[in-house]
Order: sequence, then structure tokens, then C-alpha cells
Amino acid sequence: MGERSSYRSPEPSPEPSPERLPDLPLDRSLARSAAERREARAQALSLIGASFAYRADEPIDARAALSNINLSLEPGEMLAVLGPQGSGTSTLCRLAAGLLADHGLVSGRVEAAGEVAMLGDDPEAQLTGMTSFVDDEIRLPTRLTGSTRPVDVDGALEALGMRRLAGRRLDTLSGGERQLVALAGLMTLDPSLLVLDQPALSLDPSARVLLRDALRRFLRGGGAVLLAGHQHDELTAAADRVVFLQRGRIAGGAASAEVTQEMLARHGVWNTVDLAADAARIVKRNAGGADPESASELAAPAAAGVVPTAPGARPAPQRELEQRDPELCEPAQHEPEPERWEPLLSVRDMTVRREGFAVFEGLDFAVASGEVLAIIGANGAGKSTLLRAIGALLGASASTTGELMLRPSTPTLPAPEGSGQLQARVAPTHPRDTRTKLPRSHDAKGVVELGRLAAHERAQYVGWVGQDPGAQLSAATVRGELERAAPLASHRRRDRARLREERRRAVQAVLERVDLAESSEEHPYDLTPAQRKDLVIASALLLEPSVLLLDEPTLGRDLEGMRRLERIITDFTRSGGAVLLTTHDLRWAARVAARMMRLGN
Amino acid sequence: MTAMQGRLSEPGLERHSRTSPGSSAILHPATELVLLASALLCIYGIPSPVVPATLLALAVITAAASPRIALGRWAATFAVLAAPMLLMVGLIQGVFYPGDRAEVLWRWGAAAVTVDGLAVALQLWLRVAAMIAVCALFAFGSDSARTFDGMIRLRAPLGIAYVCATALSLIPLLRGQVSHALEARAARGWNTARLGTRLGLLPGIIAGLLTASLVQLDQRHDTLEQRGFGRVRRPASLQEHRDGRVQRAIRWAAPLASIALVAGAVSGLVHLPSASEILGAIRG
Amino acid sequence: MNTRDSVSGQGLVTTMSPGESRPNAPKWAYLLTAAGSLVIIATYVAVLVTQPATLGQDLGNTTLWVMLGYLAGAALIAAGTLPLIPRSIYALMPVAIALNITVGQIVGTLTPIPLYLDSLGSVIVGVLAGPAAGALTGVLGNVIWGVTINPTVIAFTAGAAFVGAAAGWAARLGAFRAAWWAVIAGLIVGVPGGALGAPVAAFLFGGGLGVGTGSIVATLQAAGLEMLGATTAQSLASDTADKAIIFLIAFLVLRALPKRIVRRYPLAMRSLSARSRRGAGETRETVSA
Repeated sequence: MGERSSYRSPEPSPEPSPERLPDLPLDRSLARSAAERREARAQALSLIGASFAYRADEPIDARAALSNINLSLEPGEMLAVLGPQGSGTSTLCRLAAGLLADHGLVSGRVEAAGEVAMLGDDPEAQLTGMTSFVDDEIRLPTRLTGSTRPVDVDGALEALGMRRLAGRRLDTLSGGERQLVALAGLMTLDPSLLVLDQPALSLDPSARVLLRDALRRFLRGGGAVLLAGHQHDELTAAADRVVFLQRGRIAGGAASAEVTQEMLARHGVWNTVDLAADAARIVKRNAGGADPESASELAAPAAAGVVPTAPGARPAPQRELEQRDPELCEPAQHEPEPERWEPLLSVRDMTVRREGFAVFEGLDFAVASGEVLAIIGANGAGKSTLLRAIGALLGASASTTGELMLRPSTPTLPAPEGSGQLQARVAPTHPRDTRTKLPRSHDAKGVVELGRLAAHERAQYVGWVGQDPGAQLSAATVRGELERAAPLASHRRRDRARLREERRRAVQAVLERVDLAESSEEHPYDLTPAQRKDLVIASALLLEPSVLLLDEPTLGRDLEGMRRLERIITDFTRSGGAVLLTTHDLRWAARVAARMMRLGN
Repeated sequence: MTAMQGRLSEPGLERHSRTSPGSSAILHPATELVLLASALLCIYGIPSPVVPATLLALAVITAAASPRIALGRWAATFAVLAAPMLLMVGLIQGVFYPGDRAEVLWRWGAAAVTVDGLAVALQLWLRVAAMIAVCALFAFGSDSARTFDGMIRLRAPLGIAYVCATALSLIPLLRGQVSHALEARAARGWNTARLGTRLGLLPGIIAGLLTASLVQLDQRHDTLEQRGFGRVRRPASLQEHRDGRVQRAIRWAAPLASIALVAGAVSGLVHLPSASEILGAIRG
Repeated sequence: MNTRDSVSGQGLVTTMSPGESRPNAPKWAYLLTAAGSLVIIATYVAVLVTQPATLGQDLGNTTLWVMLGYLAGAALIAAGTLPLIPRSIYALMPVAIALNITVGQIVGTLTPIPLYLDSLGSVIVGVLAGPAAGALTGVLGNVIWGVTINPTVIAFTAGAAFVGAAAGWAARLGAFRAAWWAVIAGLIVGVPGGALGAPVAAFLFGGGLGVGTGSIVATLQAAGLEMLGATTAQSLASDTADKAIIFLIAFLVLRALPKRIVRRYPLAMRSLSARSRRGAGETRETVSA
């Protein structure tokens, strides 16, 4: 049985083969009528009854990753394939790009008219390791086809509005910039079909608009675009059609203009944009009430670098947004009453310099117990740096100045009746000092000068969750990861068993809190990216910090994943914690956060 | 010999510039690889201490002369790798040499310092030291894309070229992952500045490192396939390298010359002084 | 086979699966591999028959023949195994090679432990993707290790290829289903492995490569053994222990790897117990996201 393993020649078979290996080996052995052939020619991509299963010999039931997919895409057309995590959107991208033959069992018909270029979803995985500079990276696809023709690097970058990246080292780019560079490189191949898996994932709104415009130009030139993802965003909204995928099957579709909130929610897709169809309905209902362009309004560049809205005040458009989202769960946080507003974490005059340059300067802000503060701003504005600075995780290359004070929260009020089930499971959360015997270094007034503490000492006050969850995980199971995530409090040997037992219980509680209890024996890398992030959040919750620092927690989440995240955040703020998060999803930020803060020049 | 002269003529290189990365290197990576192989053949093919000694000296000069190679780092690497071997071979063969007719300089029980033993030890070490020196020159002046280009130029199969080139690029990747892992631990309350804590965390970090790098390389390979890797058997060179008739000639001449040299030495046509002759000359 | 069930009936025009059948690997691949093994064995026998047990003052040409024979054999094996190797394993090979090199370098030459632990990566690849891939990893690992850090190991390439291949064979026989079987397989593999390495260690490097292994050779020579005898005795002792440990570690590593990697290799899936296999079936959906 092992003999039938995936022994495939890495090289083309020994008989003299043409210079190019077939992109889609499926085409060759298909017996087709001439008419069918002509029809296929006209399509940029055509999938007829296409199916894919990972291994054939696994003891799996009959679920295939993709079943009987029928899709066609004409030149000049943009199609978005949306579905929840695990619905097969990424697999479909790979199938369309002809990259699956080595990974399992493909059946049915997959035909593409010309060159297909695909961009993968993970911005962290956009480095090939073969190149170190942007220019080389842009030339790479051309070189890999065996061509030595000169490549217009600047032109390729210019098309995406990223000319400033020319000549940079790849490892200095942000995730979004890496994706754009990779895309610029693929575009130099002049493909007839572009397959983009969650291209907007880590792009800021303005970069999304630039990319959208570039894609439109590409379409006008006769190209076709296949987008895929778990979120409906500025890019998928610009598609001509939207197709929904569920459990590897096509579950419906609509013209892009007709997509409604209800439709997206039904298919488990998270929405980050204002929908034309919904807006039209509301406008009708409100007798011509102006549609508040919430996202673009909030995204408008502010005069000063940082514009915190008034404490406790919520952005005006929120009510309307809520009306339009009957499907979504309740508003995420209970508002602190203005007169009782007291800062939990306050930052005064914070400046971070890296290699002589100020990433940001003189930052002042505070966040209260029970509050969510969203930090927004363009790619590279220093959002991640700010969160790392608060956690003392910037490394030796950066210097931080300024004051960082924390007033650990007083025991919180019991959660409102009927809404505290989640919290009840992890009782008792407070008072903190009964739980661990970690030394807590605060003065008589209970104020902690965080700025004086090292990273590991801050960990009990602020829980940092970085952008790439993979970088924060190392154990072979989810449970193992959590059990070893944090050190046990210093103890005598005879107490060890008791502490271990306590930790086990805490881990179980926190697993249930983030909905990972069922996956506790899985390998963290076998989880979906969103679940991996939840696992890192869980490890932070284990220390019961006062403040959670979430770096891009919404990346690539479907509706279910977003609801889970909102639950975690609500749960945390209800028990008196504060959350600082960075995001590009302005619409969600306006809903979940009491205030937003814009970073950038 | 030719090999090292080739390497010697390698002047300062700014390894990457924006417009034409690697173009400032005089030699094509393929030429470097061929020279390296020729040098190794000479070291092991000619039973005379003169060859490794000469190559060792040439390598030191090259390392000192080439601005592309930091002499300090090169020397440190060389010392770390060659010193334990010198020590061990000196001890084993120099003191415990099992030959019968060995000339004994000093004896203490089972241990005896013999001329033969010392000669064997020194020769063995010279060979290894010369190899290390030459190879370190290559390793310090190369990166993935360069190695890949060189191997593709030498018609290595795509898969093998990929594996070799990527293996060379792993060190920065691993270094990055270790620092991520330590950072993640610090963010959960481990005092990673303490050596004891670090050592305690080490097994977990290493286990995680293995998985993380497997997954990451898997992704990189996947990404590379998305860029079109594997569609043609011979991709064009990823960086721009200088190449020309002279280099092509060197690529043929260097291995042929070293094979001729080795064949000559084996058949006795070319005679380089052997260790006993040198010893004899020293003794007068 | 539930292949047919997993795809809905209509539209099944072609079926492509890397796992469906062993692609007819060209005959020359097997011939090359066999030729490579023959060259190595011939070199080994020739060295044993013709050489004095102790090196003379002038090193002579032994080193050249040993090195050429082993390297040529390894190159032939590498060329022969290429078409037998699943393409996806190339992605993992660099890590395996790095593992060979870093652990091997640290344990083998810098610490006083008389072990090598320099074939962990090849063994893992062998268990995942079969003997051909394991052998190739061993060959490439030693060549890269040699060219970048420690040229002495180039000469041990034949042994490295053997260990990688042996791990694949052991996995096919089911040795990686239980820890003790893995240990026993390792002990057995260590015997020919050690025997292959001994002439290299003796004639090329005078037995003195690692701090730990070297001290044993020195002790044995002091006790009156000849150079080859001392090195062989040391090799056999070190290698059997070494391979047993490595096979055990590989057994553990295999179980700590994410299913999204292991799942691709049917051989590895067979090495996992029934329980873990079911786990893999359940997780496959998440990875398809």
C-alpha cells in the first residue's frame, strides 16, 4: 500500500518533453468534442464537475475538499468565491491554478485559456527564501519561466502604487507590502487569469483601493480575476459576481451588487464593507436618510497624528450599522459611564525610535477598564510597534521613551444576568492575587509603572498577541501549548502537584472560553489560522492580564471566527479588562471599539 | 592549484546592489563551485603535505584580500572547526600511534610521542584544515539565489539545486524563529534573560523550531511553486552574474588540470615531496 | 478505496492521483542505485583487503580511493533515487539537512559524547517518504555539510545514504509503529552503518574526528589494537547506540508533526497508530481552508 505512495517524478519523464511542462495535466487526456473545445477557449477559466480530495487512502468518509464544482470565467470578468473557513476556498484557488496535482486526487475538468498566476493567502508565507530584495522578487516569476528578458521592476510596482518599495530588502516589508510585491512580480508574466486568495487580508483600506484599481485595469486589458476568501471586502465587492462555497460545494451566488448582509451571513462570510443592496433598502425605509459613509469617514486622514475620540463617546455611525446588521451578535462592550471613566492603562509621551527614525512620537492615550480601543492606520504606520512597545517586546534595535502606567482594575461588578455564562465557567477571575503568588509590583495606590518592568514582568499585566500566531506556538498539541505557555508561580516542591492541577483546570477553562476544547489534542498547525490566533489569545488569557494587546485579530476570519473573537473580547472587557487592538476593518472597529485612534503621519 | 588562483583573483564585491544584485562578484557561482570541487580533489588526491599547506595559505590570503568575506568571521569559523580536530588527531596519532618501527621521541607508559605519529597527525590535520578553509570561503561568499544559479548552470537537477540552495538560507530563518520563540515566552512571563530559564525552555523551543521550520519551508516551497517554480526544467539565473569565455574556460580547465595533477601524482609522473622526504630534509 | 465515493459520480473524466499507483520509475533509476551500492561495497572490500591496518608515515593514495569510491557511489545513488522521490518532500529536505548538520556538528565534534546524531533528518525523511528520499537526504546533507562547515563528513556520505534508506525500509516493515521496534531497528541499522564508516574514519582522519569518538579510538589503540581495528570497534559501539537513539527520536518526532505535513505521505501515515490516523482524517477539512 505504501508502494502506491506519492512517488512522482520531480523531473519530467525521461522521454524528450517540451520546454514547458503542462500547467494543467488534466487537459491532455480529455476526449473532447471540437465544439466543447472552442467553448473552453473562450473562457479564461472553466471548471466542469471538478472535484478534489486530499488523500485517497485515508480512512476518511466520502467528504471531498471540493465536489462537483462548475464555474466559468470570461476574459474581463472578476469572480469572487466566498465561504467560511474550511469550505474549500483556498483549495479552489489552487485547483484553478493547477497547483494541486501533487497534493491529492483531482477529478473532473479544469481548463484555463492561458497563463494562470496565483497569489497565496498568507502574507507571512510570501517569502520564497530565494530572493532578498524587492527587485529580485519581482523578476523571480519571469526568471523561473526560463526567460532572461529584462523586467520593468518600477513599472510593475507603479501599477500597484508601490513604487516606493523598489530596492528595499524583503524582510523589512510588512505583510501587506510583501503580498503586493509578490503580485507585482506575477503581473509581469502577463497572465490571462489571476487567482488571488484573500488578497486584501493584510492591506489597509487605501492599499485595497489601489489594488482594486489595478485589478480593474487588468480586467480592461482582457484579463480575468478569481478572488477567494472568508470576508467580503472592498475587493470582492468590486467583483462582477460572487459565488458562495460551503463544504466544498457551490451553495449559491449572486451579482455583486445584489449581495446582502443576510446572504453573506447565511453563507458564513464576514462583511467589512457597506453593501449597496442593503443601503438601498435602508435608504428606502428611512425615506432618503443619508447613508453615512462610516468607513471612509473614519478613514479620512486626520490632521494630527493621533486622534482619539472623546472618552466614552461612540462614533456616530454605529447605530445605523447595528440596524443594518441584524444577523450579528450584540454590541461587543458595555460602555463605561463617562463620569466613572478612569484610565486602566495610560500612555504618556511615548516615542519609539528605530535606527534613529521615530516610528511615532509623543503619543498620549489611555484606555479604561471594560473598554476597547482600536488602533487604525496605514500599513507600516507603527501599529504593531506600539503594541510591542507596551509589551516591552521591541528588541534591541528600537528604543522606547515615555511613561506607561497601569492601575490594575478593582474587582468588577458581576456580569449582567443572563449574559455571563461564559464568564461563570472561569470563576473566580478576581481578585487576582488569590490565584497566583507571582509578585505584583505596585505601589500603595495600586499603580504599576509598567515602563520600568521587563517583558516577562509585564506579562501578568498585559497579554500580547502578535500578528503571526505561528511565531508564538511551539507545542505539539493545543493543550500542551497552554499547559506550558506560562511559568508556574514560584512554589515549594510539595505544592507542585497542586499548582499543576490548578494549571490544568485553568487551561480547560480557557480552552472553553475560546471554543477550542474540542480541538485540544490537535496540533496547533492543524487548526485554521483564526483558531491558531485564538489559541495564542487563550495563552494570554491564562495569565489573566488587565490589558489584552491584539495585533490584527480579524485577519482572514469568517463570520463564525469573528463572532468567536467578539465573544472573547466581550468576555474579557466584562470582567474588567481593557483591549487594545489593531485592525484594518474600520467598520468592525467602529462597532466593537468605544474609541479609535489613528496612527500615521 | 589553479583552483585557488581562480579564487584569489576575486576582488571586493558588494554582494547586492539594487539594480544588478551579485553583479559585482567577479566569478560566476558555477565557476566557484567548480573551483571548490577541484581544490578538494587536489587536497585528497595528492599525497603530499605541500598541496594542503599551499591551499591553506592561499585560502588565508584570499580571505584577507576579499572584502566580501569578513576575515574575522572566517578565521573564527575556521578555528572553531579545525582546532578540535588538531587536538584530537594530535593526541590519538601523535601520542598513541600504533606503528611498530616508529621513532620514539618521548615515552610515558602506553603513551609515546613518535615522529611517525606526529607526521601522520599533522598531515591529516593539514588536509582537513585546507578543506575547511576553502569551503568556508565559499560558504561566506554565497547566498541561496547565488548557489541556486551556480548549480542550475552546472546542470544539477532542479530539485537538488533547490534543496542545496535552501539549506544554505536556513540559518537566518532559524535565527529568526529562535528569537520569535524567546519573545513569545517573554510575553508569557518567562524571564528569558536568565540563562537558567533559557536552558529550561530549550527542549520545547527546539521541538517547536523543528515543526515551525518544516511548516515554513513547506510554505516557501508552495509559494515558489506559485511563482512558477518547477514549470521549466532550467530557470534563468535569478541574479545577474558575470560570466564570459574566460570563466567558461576555467570551468573546464580547473577540473581537468586537477584530474591530470592527481593522475600524475598517482602514477608517479608528477612528484611532490612526501612527508618522509621533508622530514629527511629537515634532519639533514 | 473510497476514492470513487469521494467524488460525485458525474464529471469524473480523469483521475489523477500521485498516490494511485507507483509511477513506473524508469529502470535506469534502479540500475543506478544498484550500481552505486555496488561501487560502495567494492570500495569497502578493496580497502579492507589491500590496506595495512595502520597508516604509514606517508599517507599514500588510500584516502583518494576511499573518498572517490564512496562519493561516486553516493552520487550514483542520488541520481538513481531522484525519480523515486515524491516532489513534496523536497520542501522538507532542507530542514532535514539542517537538522543533520546542526545536531551532528554540535554533538559529534564539539561535545565529549561518543555519538554522532548526524542522521536525524535523513531518518525522519526516510520514515516520511521512503528509502529513496532518505538516502538522497543523507547524501545531500553530507555534501552540503562538507562544503559549508565540515568537509570531513563528505567522506561519510555512503554511510549517511545507507542510514536514510534503512530508515525507509524499517518504516515499510512497520518498525515505526512502536517505540521499542524503532529502537531495535536502529540497533540493527547501526551495525552495517558503523562498519561502513570505520575505514573512512581510520584512513582519512586517523580516527580522530569527534572529541568523544576520538577518545575511544585513542584508548583502544593504547590498549594495543591496530588503527582500523580500534576504529571499527569504536564505530560499531557508537553507531548502534547512535542509530537506536535517532530512530527513537524520529519515532517521537513523527508523532509531534502536524497532520497537514504527515498526511501527504502514506508511508508515514502507516507508521502512525490507528488512533492518530483517525485524528488526521478529522483534521483534513481544516487544512483545506
